[in-house]
Amino acid sequence: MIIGTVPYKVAEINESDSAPEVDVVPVSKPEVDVVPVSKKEKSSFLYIGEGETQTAKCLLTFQNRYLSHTFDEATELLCKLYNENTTPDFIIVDKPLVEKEFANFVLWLHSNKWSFILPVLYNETVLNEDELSRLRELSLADDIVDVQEFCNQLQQKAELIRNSKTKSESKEKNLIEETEGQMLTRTPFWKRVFDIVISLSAILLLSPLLLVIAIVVKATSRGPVIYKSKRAGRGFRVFTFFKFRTMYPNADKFLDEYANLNVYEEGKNGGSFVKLKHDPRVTKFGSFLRKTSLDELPQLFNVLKGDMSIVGNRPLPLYEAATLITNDYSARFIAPAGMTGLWQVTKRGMEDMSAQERIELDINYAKEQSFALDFSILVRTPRALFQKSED
Amino acid sequence: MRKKVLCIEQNYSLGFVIKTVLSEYFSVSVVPNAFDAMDELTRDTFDCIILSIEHQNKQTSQLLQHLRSSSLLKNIPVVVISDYEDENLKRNCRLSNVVEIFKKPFDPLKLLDAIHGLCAPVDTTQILFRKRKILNLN
Repeated sequence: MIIGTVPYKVAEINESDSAPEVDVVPVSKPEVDVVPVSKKEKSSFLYIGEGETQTAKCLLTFQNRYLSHTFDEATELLCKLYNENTTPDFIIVDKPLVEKEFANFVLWLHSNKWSFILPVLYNETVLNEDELSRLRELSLADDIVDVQEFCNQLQQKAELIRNSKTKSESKEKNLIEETEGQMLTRTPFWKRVFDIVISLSAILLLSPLLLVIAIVVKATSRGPVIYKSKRAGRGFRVFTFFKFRTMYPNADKFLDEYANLNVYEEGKNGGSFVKLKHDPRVTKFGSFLRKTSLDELPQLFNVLKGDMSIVGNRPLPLYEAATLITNDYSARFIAPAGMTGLWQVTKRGMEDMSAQERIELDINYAKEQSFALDFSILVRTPRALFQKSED
Repeated sequence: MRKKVLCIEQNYSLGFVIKTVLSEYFSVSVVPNAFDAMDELTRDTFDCIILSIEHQNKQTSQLLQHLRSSSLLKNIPVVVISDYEDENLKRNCRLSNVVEIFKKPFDPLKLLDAIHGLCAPVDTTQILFRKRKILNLN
């Protein structure tokens, strides 16, 4: 710790027009024409420098200013001000860099709780290029700023730095990883085990059926057996989504032409879904697959790969998913994409479900997801499928 | 070594989406407010900053001004995500080191593209071109 031996000199000017005391080193004579009195900043600062520069003049906008020429003087002055309970809000250093002196001063500031939080702003204009890059490397100053240019932002800047230092000291940092308790952002172990067991068993058990469907799809219309598209899963992670093809090839390209058949209205805040009534792009066999939901079976491979879960939110095409990246709707992406989910079992087959209702159910699932909820959705899924196929 | 991105997003789920999308290519730290961002900026160096500015939140606007005036940080490109877009915001962005503005809702993959563009080997002309294009200066 360094305590200066030079007697401190104080320059504290409370009002712009009050003359400096005799034993005070003035920053400079108050110059009314720099900034009108009415616009003076309320905070106070300690200036370390010569006090005759243009920089110092611009600092007259502040009501309370303390001046010292050296770091030793500054140390003593700060101690005095602390004892008088008038610690300044920030420190401005306006002198060429003398590395050792400045480092010692900052070390001293860091040695006290009360002085640690004082923001130290170094005036950029007094530094040459070498000094500037050296100061950047040293990370001793809280900020390096052109004081003259950004004079009216100093108080705000100091407030930000001060609050951040206070917060960092109290260890209240709140990174995303540390707040996972709010909602599940990772697949729980039980869910992944459950997904693997169910999907693998289903693939093995249903493989003859999958084979028959594949043959019929291939035989009844031209094009590939499997329809692949890019979908957004948990956290908007993009994956290739598999389905049995139920439409004629290149059906996506005709989506705009049939926009008037969309059963969902454009949602508020940009949320939107697309589902066409009596979709003319669907093949005859495709219509059967859709009614029975057999077209969804290839998603078992997505589940096995880890792209999706058995239970989750519907994986949306990217253009739809992007419309939900808002403050209100993005919570749905906390949950994984799933083959079945809350909205499917809540109102499956009912065409009057609005896009807003679907989104709300998705968000509800994302917030409430648990083993019990997944189990309940899974139990209700066959009934929902049966109801749908009857419609 | 992966480039580092600092994201300041107060909405938890949006922060999660941004982190998930970018994490495949970048080392991403997400903090919920300007104070934590300041703390992160003193601890580490970042190649890019994503700053979410809310209409009601003055802290983030203050942080943007701080980034602009700080000699330590003014060379870090900033991408702004906002729930509004008015002349005041555009002016602040124009004065600052903001190279792109995304208005919510936005496509996270386009954000990823933007960050890729900014963190690629430095091509200042591209960054300036992008900034001018986004801020309608061309």
